[in-house]
Amino acid sequence: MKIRIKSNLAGGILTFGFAAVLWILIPLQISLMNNNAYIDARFVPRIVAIAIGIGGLSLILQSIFGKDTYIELNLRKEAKAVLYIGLLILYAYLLPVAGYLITTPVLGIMTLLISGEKNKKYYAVTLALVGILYCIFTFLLKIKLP
Amino acid sequence: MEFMIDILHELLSVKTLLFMNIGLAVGIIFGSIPGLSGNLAITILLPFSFFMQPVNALLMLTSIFFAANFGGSISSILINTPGTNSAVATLLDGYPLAQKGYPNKALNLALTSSTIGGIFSALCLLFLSPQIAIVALRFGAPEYFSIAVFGLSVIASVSGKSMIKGLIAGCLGMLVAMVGLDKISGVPRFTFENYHLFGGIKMLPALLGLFAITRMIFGVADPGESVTIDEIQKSTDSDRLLRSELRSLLPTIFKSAGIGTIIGAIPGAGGGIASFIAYNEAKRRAKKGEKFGEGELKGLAAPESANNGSTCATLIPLLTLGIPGDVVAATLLGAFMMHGLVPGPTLFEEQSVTIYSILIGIVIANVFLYFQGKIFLRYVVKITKVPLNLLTACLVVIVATGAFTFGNSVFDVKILMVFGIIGYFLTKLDFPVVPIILGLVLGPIAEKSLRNALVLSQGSPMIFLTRPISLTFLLLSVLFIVLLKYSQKKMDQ
Repeated sequence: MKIRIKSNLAGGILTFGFAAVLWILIPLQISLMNNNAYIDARFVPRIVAIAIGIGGLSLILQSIFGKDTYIELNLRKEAKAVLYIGLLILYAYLLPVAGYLITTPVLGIMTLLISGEKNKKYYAVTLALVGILYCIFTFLLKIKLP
Repeated sequence: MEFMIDILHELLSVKTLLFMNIGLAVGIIFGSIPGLSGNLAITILLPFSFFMQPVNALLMLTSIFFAANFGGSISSILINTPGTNSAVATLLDGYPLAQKGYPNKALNLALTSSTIGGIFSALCLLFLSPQIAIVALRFGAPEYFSIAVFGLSVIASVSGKSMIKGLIAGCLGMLVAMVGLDKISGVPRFTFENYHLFGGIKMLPALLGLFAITRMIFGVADPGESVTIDEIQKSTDSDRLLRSELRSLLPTIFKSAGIGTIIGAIPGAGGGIASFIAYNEAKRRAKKGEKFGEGELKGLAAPESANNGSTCATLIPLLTLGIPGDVVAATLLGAFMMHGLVPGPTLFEEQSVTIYSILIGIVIANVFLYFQGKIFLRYVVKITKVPLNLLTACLVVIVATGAFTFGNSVFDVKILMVFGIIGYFLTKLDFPVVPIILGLVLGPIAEKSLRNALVLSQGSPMIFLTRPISLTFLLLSVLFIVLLKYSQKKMDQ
């Protein structure tokens, strides 16, 4: 199944929304010190937020009154991408818990599995690479892996 | 005469040449593997250098420094993942050239340009160090701000189809660079009470995420559509750098080496800015039919010559004034001091034989870089024969390991993944990724210099227009954008 979205419109709405959230976050995330600086720590972030907002709004207007390009999303492929993104997030969180020697081979193997790879040699090469990297960092470079 | 004999005695020993070449090999390897860096290699080899003669040790460590810079370009060209931030501009034309079936030509051009840039800069270091240091010292906050603005104007040329999207991406990069403690007031910004964020977001994990992880998500979701390894495999007999091509590129290479040397001599500026400014300049002077961003040879030669040109130049303020221009230079400063050489104005008088041996050695090492690079490239180009699925799996393992070892922190692995995911969605929506890196590199310099300059001028923005160097760079920024728009319009017509 495929869906089509307007690139500028989607990008514009997202960035304009992001700029609005950023504008609200600035006073909450940057406290002001009572110093004599001509520009405080909030000044440049505000300029950036305004620039992103104006950019987002321009993209929306460009999409409504001017030209826009369509992006075609293949939901099957996107599902694979989302699955892989989930795996990457899981890896980052499990690395300190389960350790390098368990999580990294699983990451390599899952990457091949999600890609639909059937050649067993590739799985062996990936596992061997993890082993080699572990040995290089732990024994040669004396860098402790989790 | 006696002075020269002493220098030659120091330099022309088997040991010196051996350690110099070990440094070059280690530098190329560490630079070419995403996640590893020249600084890591120097740090690892530093303890071993204590047992060596100062000239041997320091030549080995400085050789790592500029060989790693070249190594970073290898992964930029072959797998669209810059090994260092200096190599980001290289991928703009280097990767498309490799995709077109010319990986050998791209790598050899990168090597030749890097060597010429390195030798040019090393000769400047040898003969013009004190003079260049005086000019570099004239750069105050307004000049830094203007040079950062000039660097940011490059966004206009790397934004692809939509300049608005490029500007938004540049702003996002600047925003990311603001995370952490504010350098001037010391207040935390966008840290969400997470102490890992107080030190800011590190450049390398972000860079690897945006380029490598993004590409891997695309590769896994649709192996047929993403990286055109098949196209790279179609490398033909014509995939070699012709002498006539190199001859026509020499003016660009030398000009870029000059740009790299000047920018590199300014403390804190570095190879990232130098390579983008050189790319910018080459694009500004583009002739009819030269298609930058699609594998143009000048677009590859310019940043490569400039980034290696800037590496030796980084040593100018380091050796003459004791000011380290970047993190690697700071590590090298430590190495020099541990070997009894205290950088500063008196170094060239007190330790003249040792320091001139090192400086001449750097010129020789740049020549060796060319020959070692030739040997390395013969094997490294075979990466294009690796099947895509295997390459993706191996790279994700290497990149994840590299991101962890970079700062010995799991948090950097999280940063890597987050930036990979952000890069994926931005690319889906046709946002260019390179401006994010520009914002990330130049944003902090621009903000800090702007605030410092306004303190100097007591709030008057006229300080940027009344100082000649600052005004020149601001005018150049405007001129560049106007000329770019004009030439784009002309090409469209």
